Amino acid sequence: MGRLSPALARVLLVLVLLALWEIFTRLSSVSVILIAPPSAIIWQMVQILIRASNVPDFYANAWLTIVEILVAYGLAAVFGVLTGIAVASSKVIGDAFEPILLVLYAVPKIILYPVIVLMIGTGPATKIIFGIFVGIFVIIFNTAAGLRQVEPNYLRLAHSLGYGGAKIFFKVELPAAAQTILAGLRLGFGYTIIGVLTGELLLVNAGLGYLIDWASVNYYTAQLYALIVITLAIGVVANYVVGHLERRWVRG
Amino acid sequence: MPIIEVTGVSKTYHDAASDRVVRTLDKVSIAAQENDFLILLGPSGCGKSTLLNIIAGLVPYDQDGGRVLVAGKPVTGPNPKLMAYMFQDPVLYPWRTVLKNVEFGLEAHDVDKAQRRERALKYLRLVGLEEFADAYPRQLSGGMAQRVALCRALALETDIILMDEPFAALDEQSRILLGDELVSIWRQVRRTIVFVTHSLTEAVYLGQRIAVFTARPGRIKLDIANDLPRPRAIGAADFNQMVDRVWQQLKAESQAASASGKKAAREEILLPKE
Amino acid sequence: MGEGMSPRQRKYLPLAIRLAAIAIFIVIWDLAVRLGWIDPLFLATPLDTLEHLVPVTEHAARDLAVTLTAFISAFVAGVFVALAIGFAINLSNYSRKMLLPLLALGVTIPKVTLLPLFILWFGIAQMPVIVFGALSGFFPMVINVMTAGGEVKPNQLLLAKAMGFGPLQIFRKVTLPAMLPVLVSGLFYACNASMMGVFIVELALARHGLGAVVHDLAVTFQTADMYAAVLLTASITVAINMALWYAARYFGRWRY
Repeated sequence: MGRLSPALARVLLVLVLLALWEIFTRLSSVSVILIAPPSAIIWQMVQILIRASNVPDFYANAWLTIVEILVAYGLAAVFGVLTGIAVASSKVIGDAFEPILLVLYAVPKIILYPVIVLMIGTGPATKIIFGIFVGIFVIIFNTAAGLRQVEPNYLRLAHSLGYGGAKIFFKVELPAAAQTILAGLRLGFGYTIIGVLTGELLLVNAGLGYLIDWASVNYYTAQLYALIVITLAIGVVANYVVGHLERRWVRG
Repeated sequence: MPIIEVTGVSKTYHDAASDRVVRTLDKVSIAAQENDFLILLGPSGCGKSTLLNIIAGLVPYDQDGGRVLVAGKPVTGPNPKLMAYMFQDPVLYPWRTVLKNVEFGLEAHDVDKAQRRERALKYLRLVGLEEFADAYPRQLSGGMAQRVALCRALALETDIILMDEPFAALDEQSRILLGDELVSIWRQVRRTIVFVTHSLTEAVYLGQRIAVFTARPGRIKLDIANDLPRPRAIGAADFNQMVDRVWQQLKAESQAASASGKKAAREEILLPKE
Repeated sequence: MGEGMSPRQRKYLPLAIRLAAIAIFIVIWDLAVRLGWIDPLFLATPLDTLEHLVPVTEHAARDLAVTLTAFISAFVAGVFVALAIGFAINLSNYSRKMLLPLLALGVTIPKVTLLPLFILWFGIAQMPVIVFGALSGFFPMVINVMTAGGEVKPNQLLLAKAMGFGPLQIFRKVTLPAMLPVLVSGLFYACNASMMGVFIVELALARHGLGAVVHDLAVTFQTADMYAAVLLTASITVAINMALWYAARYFGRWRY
């Protein structure tokens, strides 16, 4: 049993599941509306990507979603890290705001979604704001925690060498906390994606959310699955890339 | 009749990594009388821990005629009614208080709740840790934790206590102090102790009988009585004489063990400090 | 900062800052509506919101019950399946190594993308709400069960065996207590995820439950009522979350 590497076993498992899915769909009498075989899905995916499918304006919509994600993440990262630094900078401020942050974190952000829609409308801004909302907390927490956990010995050494405040921050504290901060940034990216996509799928007026809804209401099942797979793939690939970057930066 | 009787016991196993048959013990015979403080001393890899595990019933031995009898009966598995076991790592359960950790072994026996508590407290008192009864293991130092593990073993009130390098991870002072405590308890409660160590000083300081092992495959090379009067003084003339005597036997084995390219442990044999 | 202050003042300073910050926030919120920075159609004053809290709660009592039932069903189902599958996978180190990354993937992918599929399969009654909620809670919980399996050290098991305990006793006395803190922390994440899953589907379908109530109030611009409903939902979820968070800390107290 130990001869097959776990990674290989995983790939085999997925292939076996896909094969079973294919056989089940072709042979059973389950409605074609509910489920499409993997072969049809893959075919549709190819069609979509080469613009030969009936999916309207795929690239325009996909690009819109991706831009929303990038903008939301950019803002979440910048404000998240800055807030984290602020919280960690002074023990008093940290103690004061930490419980507030914890309570805000404990509220499932989705509850505030209608509020945001009400105030900002149904454009891309809403999805961006919501994405920021969902992703920013983990970034703040990780940044603050990382900075607070810097070994006091590092700081003592820096002081004894005569370094001033800003120098200590950039040369000692930030690098020491980098691993935790980068981990927070990686998690935050995943959460931001979830936030933006949630917004898109609830409002379904633009972007990939609109396309998925279009396929759903028109019962274009193969297209529906294909679009879902593409969206998930974007999420998975993006997470993987960020994780890879994090690993490389941590080592450097 | 000896309380522990090991006759011609061997242990071989198949090492999957190197695909070789390894013989750790080769027809070892040794007996312990009641109330012995028997030391099993030898270089790393000589099988002394394996022998202890075999006696404890945790590891099977080769079925080739060898025999292990404890209190006259053959060993087939762990026998917590007869033998208590102590590892090098105290293995205190972090989710239980010190008191509940000492009580742990008693929960397998038919000892009721009140009795368990009473017995546990009695032994905690013996080692001076009574006030830590409700503390959690994470609050204890290494030496204290090992003391609690000792209490746990003592609380079982078995005739035999098996100890596998229990003080090896402690600093020198703790080692000496705990060693003293162990000897004092041994004289008070009259148990049979089988103690594995690779430290020459510890062996001569604590033991009343010392069995010296050869390098792998392990055999008993020397079985001597250590009659030095107690309390023993490390560095005294008679102490050093005994150490020299044992070291003569041990030296060759220790060199053989390193020469055959075995990975030496952090310290092969600890020589007494002047 | 802090010199020249008595120890007692220093102790209460964070609390004072916190209260001040909250007060400032409420004042700005109030002014924003009163001074017209934001159209009152889109934002209600703090006072209005509070005043509408009780009536909305009474009005939405039935939907509240629906949501809570759905949430508890989803949570229990998700956790139960996660425990079953997690413990089964833990039996073999190999299966654990192989399946962990796959299941971890299930946590990070935006499951909300599957929402239309769920509606397609399960209709628009309570089924998709519960199933989606269960699925949302399943993944974080199963990861925690699998991680918890690594919490037990071989030495701890060996000791119990040497003490003469049988396999069932060892499970009860050693394996389970060692796993408990990670399991309870898993419950915390699963609870959060299930709550969100349930609410998302209710919002999307807009038929029953608190999600539907909030949705309807929003589209009909009953602003004060809507904010009151949001406040109500937020309070309930915060209460549940805090309870579980303290439970997780309580069960993990021997670690710190």
